This record gives sequence, C-alpha cells and structure tokens, in this order.
Amino acid sequence: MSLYWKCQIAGWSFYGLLSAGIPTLYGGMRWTVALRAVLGIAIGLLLTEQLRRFMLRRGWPWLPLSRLAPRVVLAAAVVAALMVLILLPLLLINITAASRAGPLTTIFAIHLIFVLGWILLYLGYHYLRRVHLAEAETLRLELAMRETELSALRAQLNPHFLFNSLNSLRALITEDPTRAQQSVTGLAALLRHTLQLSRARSTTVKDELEATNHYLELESLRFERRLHYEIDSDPRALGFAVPPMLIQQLVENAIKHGIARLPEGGSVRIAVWRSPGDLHIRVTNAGTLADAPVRKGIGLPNSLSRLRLMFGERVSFQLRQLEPNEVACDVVVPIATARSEHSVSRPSSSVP
Amino acid sequence: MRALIIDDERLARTELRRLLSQHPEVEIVGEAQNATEARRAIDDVEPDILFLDVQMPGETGFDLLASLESVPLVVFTTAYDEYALRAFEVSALDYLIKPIDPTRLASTMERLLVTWRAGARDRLSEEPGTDRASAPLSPHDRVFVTEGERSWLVELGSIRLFESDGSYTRVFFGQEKPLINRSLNQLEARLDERVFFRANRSQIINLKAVRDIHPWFGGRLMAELEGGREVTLSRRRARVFRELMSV
Repeated sequence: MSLYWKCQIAGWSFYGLLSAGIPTLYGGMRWTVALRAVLGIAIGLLLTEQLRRFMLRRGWPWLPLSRLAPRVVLAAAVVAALMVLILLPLLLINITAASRAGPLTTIFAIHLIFVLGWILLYLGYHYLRRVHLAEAETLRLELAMRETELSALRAQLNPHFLFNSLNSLRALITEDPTRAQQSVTGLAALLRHTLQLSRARSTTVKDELEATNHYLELESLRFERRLHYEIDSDPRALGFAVPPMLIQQLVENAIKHGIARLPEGGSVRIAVWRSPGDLHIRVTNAGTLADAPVRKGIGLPNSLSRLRLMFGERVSFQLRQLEPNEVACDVVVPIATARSEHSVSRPSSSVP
Repeated sequence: MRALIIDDERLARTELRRLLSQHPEVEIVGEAQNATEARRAIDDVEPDILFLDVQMPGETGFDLLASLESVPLVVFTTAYDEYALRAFEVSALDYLIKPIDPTRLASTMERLLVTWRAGARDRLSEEPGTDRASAPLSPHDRVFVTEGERSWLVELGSIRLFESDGSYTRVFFGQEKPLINRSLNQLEARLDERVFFRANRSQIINLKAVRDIHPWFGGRLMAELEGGREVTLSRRRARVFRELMSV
C-alpha cells in the first residue's frame, strides 16, 4: 500500500473516532452517531481522493504560493461544506431544533480545519519531495560535470598518439634533423594547448585551429602520404569561444575511424564558418560510418558533453555519411550563446 | 636470424631497422606495411622472426598471425596498447614499447636467440632440401589462435585433438578448446601424419597424447587421450593404424 493510502486511512479513522467520540461523551452512544462516523469516513475518503486528482490535474503542487493559497482555502470550504451537507440528515437527528445554527457552524468549522489540514499535508509532502528531488538532480548534474571534466583531462591527448609521435621523432632526428626540430616545437605547442584544458574552460577558434594544425602535422609524420588535410576558416569565426581540444578531438576521431582504417589513406577537411545566426564547425574525412564504432572512441561523446556543458542543449551535433566515401561531423553553435558564454554554464535544472 | 619488420609507419620501420643494426645476429630480410604485404613477404623470404605492429590499417597484427599456417617467432611493437597484449594466455610473448629502449631490445634479442637456436637444431634434423612451405608442419610449429578477447600462440605438439566443427576446427590443448579458422581437411594436409593421425571423419588425434588404446567392437579402436577424452578410430582408420604400428 502506498504512503498516500496509509495516511488517508489513518487520517480518516482519526476523523471517524472524533465524530463518533465527541457526541458519545455528551449524549451517549447512539446508532446514528456510529452511522454518521462511518459515513463521514467514506465521504471524506471519496471527496479527498477526487480533490487529489483535481489538484494534480490542475497542477496545484507547482503553483506559486500567492496563487495557491486562495485556491486551497476555497477547495477546503467546498469539500467541508459538501461533507456537512451530505451528513446533514444524520446531524440534525442529534441536534435539538432550537439551537441548530450554533452547533452546525462548529461542525462546519471542524470539517473545514480537517480538510484544510489534509490539503496542506498533501501539498507539503509534495513540496518537500520536490525539493529533495531537485537537490538530487543538482548533485547529479554537478557530478556529471565533474566526471566530464575529469575524463576530459584524461582524454585530452591520446597516449597512443603521443608515443607514436615520439617514436617517429626519434627516427626523424637522424633522417631529417630540421623537420625533427620543427616537430618538437609543434608537439610542445600542442601539449601546451592541451594543458589549458585543466585551467581555462574555453579557448578561441583561432587557438584551437592552430593546435589542430600542430596535431595534423604530427600525424602526418606517422601517416605520410596517406594523410592529406586542409583547414578552411572564416575570419569572422576565429574569435568565438569553444571548449579546448574540441576541434582536435573531432579531427582525431576522423583520423582514427576514417584515415587509419584505409590502407591507401585519404583526406581530412576542417571548415569553420559563421552564418547569420550560428557558428559552424565541420570535419569531413574519407571513410564510411559503418566501420566507425562511435562508442569505442571516448573523444566524441566527451567533446559533445563539454559542448553541452558550455552552450546548453541548443548545440547541434551530427555525424553522417556525406558522400558514399565521406563522413562529415557537424557542430552548430548558436552565436547568441557562443558569444555570451565564455565560461562553463550549468544547464538550468527543471523538475517536471 | 632473418627478420621481417611489419609496421604501417615508415618512420617506425626506419627506427627499428636502425636499432637492429646494432645486432649483427639479425638480418633484416624485408619490410611490410600491412598484413597483405606481410603475408606475401613471409611466403617469399620465410623469416625466422617478425617484428609486428599491433595496430595497422585493415587487418591488425593479430589478424595476420591468425591467418598464418605456422607462426615464426614474434615480437610485438606497440606504442600504447599493452592492454591488447594482456589478453594473451602466453606470458612468454615478447613485446617492445615504442619508442623502443635499446637496452630492452638487447635483452629481448638475447632471449629470442636462445629460443631460435633451440628451434634451429630441430630444423637441422629435418631432411635437407625440403621446402619449408610444402613440408609438413612439425610439432614445434606454432599456430596463433584467437577466440573472443583471448589469444594463444600454441605449439602444434601440445594440441591433443583436432575436431571438425563445420568449416572450422576445434583444437584441444591444456584446459582450452578454441576454434581455428581452418577446416580439418586443410589441417590434415599440412600436419605431420607421423604425429597427427586422422582417427575418423571428424577428428585428428596427436599420437603423443594417446594414453591408452584398446580394441573396440566392429573392428574399431578406442584411443584414450591425456585429459581423459576418448576418441574412436573408424574401422578403416583402425586398419591403417594397425599397419602403421606393426612396421
């Protein structure tokens, strides 16, 4: 049995005890008194159950106090009046005709208080539960955000990439010292950008594209002729804020699930532009979606959740087959949000 | 010791070649940048040892090994996926982490030379002039078996029983019985019949793993293998077996 019905039965039993007990104290036990108590319990249960449904249908638990208070008083009065009216024939038997008005007013007042108490308890319980749930929800969101931050820190640079690059560099030192020097500088710049993730929560498109370029140069050491890439950026898009490593991770996924699987390789294209209302980031790569298990790469969901944390739910993110042999990943951020948000904002929690 | 370097990254191959130049006992007989090239090179140059990158486009290093009839010595090279190697049941598996530490390479090479020299003695006892590619597989040849997340590098000699399972074959060794991607008939054609005996239509037994053999009804024979498994030799095969044993 639910808590609601337990309280209902307990509360109305108490009511029955009172309405049978008080007249018995004054005038002794009579069958009409007992009948009145039992009938009162039944009517009370029935009416308050209807009231509960009515309140829930009308959304009373979510009303502000100013609008709720008059409704509660009116509802209590109506229910109390109905109860008294239905019980009236039985009540009248026990009240002498001479003094009917006084006791009837008292009986109505008692019913009013009882029903009012019922409504307040019911709504109060609802309110407390809601506060509790909202708290839990806030905690859950905070936890999710912290976890995302942590995994972002962990996943910022794929160790596989890092060690492969170092290995290539080791070979390059004897083969092409100049290029080795350039690559060390590039790796340093990329690492520096990566470390930003632990300090700043956002970077500019310009910095992010620079880091992505360093990343691609290093991957070129590894893939050589198998990797072609171009970066195409709209000067009007360069100043916008994005989560650090966002574009780099999109590109890393494009290489990992696209280029690395193709023995002959292919190209990766990065385009960032702005339309009147949005900032667009598109990464296309050779390959097919069918052989790209998204769940395997931690990078993709990670970037997505960081985007959501930063810009809220209005960010759109789409991975699709653009051409038979080309996959595109599109991120669209509304400019209104992109411009104003320079730090992580928590999506407002709403409880249904 | 003849080595083949398999890695999709040219610079990684160059680096390994440079490191191995310090080890005159190793002769690099070829390079391959994917599994297909590697298979061709293995057929052509018959290397004693593979330096094998795990992650390659298309087939992985594991896929390559699983497709080989007999696996030479293998040293995995990997940048960061020891986790992939941990799935191995064979703890003796050698792997090098990139960038490769020359000291670590030296100790690996030392260990490999010992294994290789032991194997070389066996090979010397083979009839001279036989072409390795067509010669039957010896009990010392190893096959690479994967099932699910687990993999084994198994010496043929330690396999007690081969059992046909559709177009695959289930191999029994130790406590394991994974499937390998070859039919029993394909295997029979390559196995040394002095050791691996076709018992019936669906089973090949390792004669060295037979604990007991006794007559069975209908002119058949019943072989009891190590580990308790019993295998019936069909009437026809029992006759062949008796002839073989009476020699």
